[in-house]
Amino acid sequence: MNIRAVFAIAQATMVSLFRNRLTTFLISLMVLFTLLCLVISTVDAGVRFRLFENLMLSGQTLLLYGFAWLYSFEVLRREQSDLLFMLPLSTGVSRSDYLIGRFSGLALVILCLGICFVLLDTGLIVWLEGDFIWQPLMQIVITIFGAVLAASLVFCYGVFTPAFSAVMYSLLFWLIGHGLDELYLFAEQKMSVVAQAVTKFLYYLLPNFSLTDLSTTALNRLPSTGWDWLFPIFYSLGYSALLLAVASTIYRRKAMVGND
Amino acid sequence: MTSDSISARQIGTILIATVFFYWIFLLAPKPEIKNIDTPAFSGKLTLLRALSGPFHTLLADRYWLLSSSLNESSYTAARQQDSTPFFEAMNTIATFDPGYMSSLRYGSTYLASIYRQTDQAHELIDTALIYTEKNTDLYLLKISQEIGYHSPPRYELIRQWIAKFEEIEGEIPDWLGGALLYAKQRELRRELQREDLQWLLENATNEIEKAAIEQRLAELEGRS
Repeated sequence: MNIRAVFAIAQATMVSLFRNRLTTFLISLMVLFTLLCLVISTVDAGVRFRLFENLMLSGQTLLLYGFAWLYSFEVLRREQSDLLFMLPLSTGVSRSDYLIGRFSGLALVILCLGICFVLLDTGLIVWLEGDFIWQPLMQIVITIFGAVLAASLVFCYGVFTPAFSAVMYSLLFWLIGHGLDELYLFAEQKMSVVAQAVTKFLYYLLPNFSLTDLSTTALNRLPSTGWDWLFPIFYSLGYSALLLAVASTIYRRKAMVGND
Repeated sequence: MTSDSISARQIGTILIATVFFYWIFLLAPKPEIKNIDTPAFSGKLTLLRALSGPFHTLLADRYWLLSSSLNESSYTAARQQDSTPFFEAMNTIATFDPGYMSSLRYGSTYLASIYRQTDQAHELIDTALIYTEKNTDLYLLKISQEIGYHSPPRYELIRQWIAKFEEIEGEIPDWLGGALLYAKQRELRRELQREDLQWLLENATNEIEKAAIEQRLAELEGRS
């Protein structure tokens, strides 16, 4: 792998995304959500600041996945309609390096915005609650990697489908992935042994976004181990790497014309 | 790019994929959820929880704020009422956020004390246990409800919950021994009261006295 080329492409992708109008729109939404959280922070839902934390987590989860889908759509759309790949590939950069560079740029943008959320939340939690509470912050960190996994799904489908369809597939797998825990439970309670085996297979095979949802543990400070928090991060990174490897294999053999 | 290098890459990809899935199957934690056989399990609520994605805790808050005054009733009125609507409302919140202790404590205590439905209170806690098995506070909550509101407490059930608690947590809290002792003493006191009232009933001299003692006896039995 040509690290220098990957880095240069990642940097160019990051700069182009940060300059995009989408970033301004999404940051404005972030400010709006933060203000809403602050306004609602006095409402007591059984536990003080629970509603504030809950709204903050939900809003930022929505924004992070929104970032992932909109940005990956933007990258793929420009790729497919403007044939952006022509110049870098003509300079001798390998196709996999190009794809990895593009994805790394996108992942780093999501990471940067996620870190902004974590810093903002740390400030708000310490200011309002007077204590450093790490569980909601860890949930945001896990969500960042969940968003990277969602973006890698878009990239994986984007190498052989139009950008919009790729985002729709990712959204569909995200919805299914969040329901896998419940499907597993439902199969255990109500379905036959064969259906239970199929469900277990799907539970491990499909991108399991339910693993990245520890909001119950985070909000209620339930007992947890370090592995409970680290596993979703390793899982998301591992699954993203696998999807990228598959995407790269397809991309190497792809006829390089626009899809749109 | 030679065909040899392509096949080497393909082998590499297959190897990475194999190691990845091996890792997933062997090391991946099993789902947090646990197959608890409870009548409170609802396929419809499970589906709704699945559809709500990562926003299920926010929906739990919404239902909690909406249901804060739902089905609340006075002690005497509640005894005549059906507890099912209240149970269903609380069960919805427990499904959407099984770690929401304020809601679980409120719901289970209300069911056990006001509606006198200790079993429904346990079912409500079972719903939460399906999703958060490691939350040992829930076993303590069940034991407290059983000691506090079921007369006589079902010691076999309490033994099972203590065993489960010890299995997860290791050591039971000190206050539990005191609470069990209190339950024993309360039952003994109640038995003595019952015997006294029976004696008074047998030796009552007029109908007015008899009616008053019978009412007191019925109240004592009603606590069971």
